[in-house]
Amino acid sequence: MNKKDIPQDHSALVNYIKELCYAVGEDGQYTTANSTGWDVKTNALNLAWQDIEQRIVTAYSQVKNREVSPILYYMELRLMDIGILSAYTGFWKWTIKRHLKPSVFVKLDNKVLLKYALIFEIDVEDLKTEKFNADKF
Amino acid sequence: MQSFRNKGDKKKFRSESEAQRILDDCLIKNQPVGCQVGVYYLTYFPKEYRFHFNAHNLVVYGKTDDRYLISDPVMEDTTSLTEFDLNRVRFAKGPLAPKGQLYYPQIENIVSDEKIVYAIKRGIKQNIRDMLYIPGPIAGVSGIKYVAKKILKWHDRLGAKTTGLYLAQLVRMQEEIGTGGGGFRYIYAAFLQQSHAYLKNDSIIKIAEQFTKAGDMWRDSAIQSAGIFKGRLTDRADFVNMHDRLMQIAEVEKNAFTDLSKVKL
Repeated sequence: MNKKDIPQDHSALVNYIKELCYAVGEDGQYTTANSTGWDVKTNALNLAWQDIEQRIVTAYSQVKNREVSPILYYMELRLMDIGILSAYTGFWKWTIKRHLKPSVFVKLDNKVLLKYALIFEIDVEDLKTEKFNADKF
Repeated sequence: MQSFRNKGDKKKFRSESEAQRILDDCLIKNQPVGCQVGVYYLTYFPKEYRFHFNAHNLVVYGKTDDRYLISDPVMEDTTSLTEFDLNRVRFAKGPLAPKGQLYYPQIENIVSDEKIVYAIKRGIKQNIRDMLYIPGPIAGVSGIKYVAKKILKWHDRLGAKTTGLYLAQLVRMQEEIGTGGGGFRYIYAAFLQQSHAYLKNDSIIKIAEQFTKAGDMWRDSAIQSAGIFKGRLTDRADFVNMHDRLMQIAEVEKNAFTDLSKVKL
């Protein structure tokens, strides 16, 4: 890439930082220059976020329909998967999968709920199914 | 060749308090320390970039009362983090969890030209091995071909939309901040160009150009990917095109590294 071809498109970074790109200057030597962004990349990032939002919306309606416990919703909201949630909580993956069942979830001890709430950075009360109100977030 | 193996230190920790203690010890001795961190809880990062990604690295170069002074390669200026925030990112969980990993070169280690030459040669040899001779199909040049073939399989089995999403992830990883663009190929070409001053071998310059070409091909393939994930390109032929591009890149890089391996270092 030549230095003059470094894209300067609008991106989410505009108000934070510019990113350093390596490119070839007119003398054939490598040099660095700042870029405000590249549309191709921004579109890829936006798509990733659309996918996440879709997952959150799906989880929301599943919780509302009592198909899964609110844990799924907050897991998606915090961009986690069961593996990451397992690493943070210290629960086994299969334990978390069990906790995703509404019937198991309602019987969970407050201590267990507290652990989830801490990781999700929410109040324990918000985690409880009957109080579930995602509009808050 | 005289060995200049780094006599610094590199550690992972089980305990957060131990990890912080060792870091503080280094800072008291004015030793800046590299730390591996996860970016999800990295407070100064733009929100759009905060995923559970754990292979980010930053340098801690000092401490005030309760804030660590940070030099992050992604940021234009230095920044800082509270004790809580630094501990949290050092002990982020998930794939490639940093486990508080820190590392630093030997204190009072003078960097002579000899040492740089040694490091360049060692680095190049390792790159050649990793790209051409690493065992298994998923890494190095054969890894690029592996992904190329996967694209067609994804298209046939998972459909155009999911494949588009995967390609978008590929573009993000390849062009992410810190790569310098073109999936690190430009930065690598710049490295080869700069190492010419130390190695005094003219063929290095020509080989650097091959990596620039590879970088350009990666960028062009990203544009093709964008056409796919934006839903503008939907034919199977467009995915075949993507497959072909990656196969060509693999070929260019295979030749470049083969040429590099023939340079007498």
